[in-house]
This record gives sequence, C-alpha cells and structure tokens, in this order.
Amino acid sequence: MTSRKLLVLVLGAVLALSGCGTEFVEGQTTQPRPTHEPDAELDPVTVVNPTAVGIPKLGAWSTLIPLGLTEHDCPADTPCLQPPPADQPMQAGWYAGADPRIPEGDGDEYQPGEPGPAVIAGHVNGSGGQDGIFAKLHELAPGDQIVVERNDESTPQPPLTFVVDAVASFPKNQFPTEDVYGSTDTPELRLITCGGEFDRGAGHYRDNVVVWASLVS
Amino acid sequence: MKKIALTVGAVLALSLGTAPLAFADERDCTRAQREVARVELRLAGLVTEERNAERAALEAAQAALNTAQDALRNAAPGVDLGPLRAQVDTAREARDAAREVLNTDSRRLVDVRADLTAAIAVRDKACGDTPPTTAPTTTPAPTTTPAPADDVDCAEVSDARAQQILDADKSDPHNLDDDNDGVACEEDVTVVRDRVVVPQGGVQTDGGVE
Repeated sequence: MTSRKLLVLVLGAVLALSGCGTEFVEGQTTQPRPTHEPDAELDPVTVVNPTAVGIPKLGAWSTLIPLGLTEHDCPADTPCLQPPPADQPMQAGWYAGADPRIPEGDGDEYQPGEPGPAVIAGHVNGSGGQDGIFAKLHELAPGDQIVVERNDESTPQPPLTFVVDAVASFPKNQFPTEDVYGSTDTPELRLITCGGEFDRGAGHYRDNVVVWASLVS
Repeated sequence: MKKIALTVGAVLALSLGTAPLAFADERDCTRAQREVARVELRLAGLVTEERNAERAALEAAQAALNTAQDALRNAAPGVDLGPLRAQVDTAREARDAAREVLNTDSRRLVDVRADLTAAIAVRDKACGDTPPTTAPTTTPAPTTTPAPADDVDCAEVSDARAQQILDADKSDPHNLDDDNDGVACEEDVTVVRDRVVVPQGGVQTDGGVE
C-alpha cells in the first residue's frame, strides 16, 4: 500500500468516524443484497432503453442520453462515469455500458426495470453556473417517486415508477462504488449528481449526492 | 588466465561436438536455446504456488469486503454507521490491493509469454534443422511441433507448453484460448471479474464552477 493510499484510508476513517460527509441524509440503506450471483439466474425482463426521467417532487424532467466511461477528469485514478455535457446541464443521461455505442450493451450496464442498478446521472449546475437538472436532488427523501420512461419501437412500454429508498452524500474520493454499481437481485435505480462544498483547487464540487430507489411499478 | 580461458573454450567446443566451421552457428543456436530456457524459468516463476496464493488472498479479501458490506447494509436503525463504513473502506482497500497484485502478475505473465514466443522464434531460426546438441538446462528444450492428435487440456500441460501448442496452430483445435486473445490457458479470474464493477469512483456532475 502506498503512503498516499494509506493517507486516504486514514482520512476516510476519520471522516467516517466524525460523521462528516458520509452520513446518510435520511432513511436507511437499501434492502440487503445478495453477496453475489447476479443476473444469470434471473428471468430476463423486457429490456428497453430508457428515454426520459422525471422527478415529480422536484419538477424535474429530462430526456436521457447514453453515457459511457471516461478517464478524463475522474475523481479517482480509475475510469469513471462519463457525465452529460456540462454546457447542457438540464440534460440527464444513463449509464449505457463502457461503450454506449454497442446497442445490445456490453454487460456491465442495467436498463431501468431489469434486475440490477440502473444509473442515471445529471448535473447540479452547468458550466455557466446555471442550475442543472439535479440541482435539488438532495431534497429527495425516502418515499418520493421517480419515473423512467422507456421506448420500444415495436411494443409500447409503460413508464416505470421507482420509489426513493435513501439519499446520501459522499466525498467523491470515498464514493461507494459497489453500493452504487454493484449488482442487485431486483430492479433498482441510482441517481447521481454533485453536492457539498465547491473545491476551488479541484474545480469541482467535493461530494456526490446519490439516490437509491427501487422499482414499484 | 589465458590458460583457463583456453581450457574453457576447449571444453565448450568438445561439449558441443561440432566441426570448426559450424562452430559459430552452433554457438548462436546454443545461445538462443539458453535464452528460451531462461524465459521458461521466468515463466515458471510466475505460475507457481505464489500465484495460487495471490488468488486465494484476493478471494479472501473479497469475502471480507462482502461481509463488511453486508454488515453495513443490515445495520439496525440507530446504529452508528461510521465504523461499519470504515470497515468497508478498509476491506475495499485490501481487496483492491490484492487484485492489483494478481493483475500485475497477470500482465507480466502475458509479457513473459510473448518473450517466450519471440525467443523460440529466434532459436528456431538460429538452430535451423539442427537438433539441439545440448540441453541448456534440465528443462526439456521446448519445440514448436504441432499439437498431437490427442486433445490437450490446460490441466495436463504446463502453461509454456500450452502456449507453444497454441502458437503452432492458431486455429486452436484444443480450445486452449477461450477468449481468443492469443494467450493459452489463462488464469480463470471470472469470480473476481464478476465483482468488478465499472465505472469506479465518483462522477463530475457539475459545471466546474461554483
């Protein structure tokens, strides 16, 4: 372990113990998940790409663009989720796989409605300082609804309704990767944006706000 | 000193049993054989119990992380989640470190196998049709003869031998290269890979301004 990693680890432990930044805003964690054995044993559901996300409580609605991976400007030294364009902060996107150009997916993404965590990201603000689509995401609370619209060229697909399980904020360098992207045995949804204080040195907000939600209909 | 050098030269010449005119070719051939043997030794050093231990360590670290995560998820309301999260972070660090060790060796393995293929090509060119006259080490000199008619299983041959068989017949009749990346009998890290989720870490979902 490098000294830098050790430092991060120690800082993480201190932060966690002091309750700074990593405490859940409210609600509990999502339901217990299996240690593994993902989708292989689960019945496939009608999987179609999501087309839009709406959050009635926040009055937020956006079409969805496919997002892939990027190595540019990631909080850690690992490929991270590609954000939507910063000059279009009202545009949300969903994680469509490491290479979103592959229509059938490349195996590590989950469409909303299939067992697993579908991930939708949106900006808290834009490069001009204007509000982003998820500017008020931190105001969500357990029980709030999120609607995901889908489209299938052959068969009409009803929109999916998810209900918020938990809302939490994490420093980006302590992002709970497995809790957000790790497989689940039921259809779930994650919404991600930025939050916390603005770090002028990094040129970004310090935290990520994460919403955990489960499919209800 | 000169006498010793002469003696060594004589012994070397005698041991090679070559005609003087062919001596230079034989020397190149022997050198190439030694290089092959040397790379084989490097390869053998990478595919021994040490790697098995690394894999076991990774699986143990992953199990510890799973346990810590389950503890966090199943924490009763009101319980201070901080220490549980710290345990998850610690376990994740340990898991990532163990994975990096294994991945580093895996990458090295691919490199050394490529070195072996190159060394074998050099040796074959240097030695031509001349059969090896001296075994450079106790390790049998590898050959690039085509795979035998009988099926070859990864469990039955060394990785080096499997790579030779694959290199000799890229059509891979023995199915030694499941993922068709040119590397025979790769370590099965599927268990680990299933747990690896991408993307990793946070997301820069802000405009870069306050």
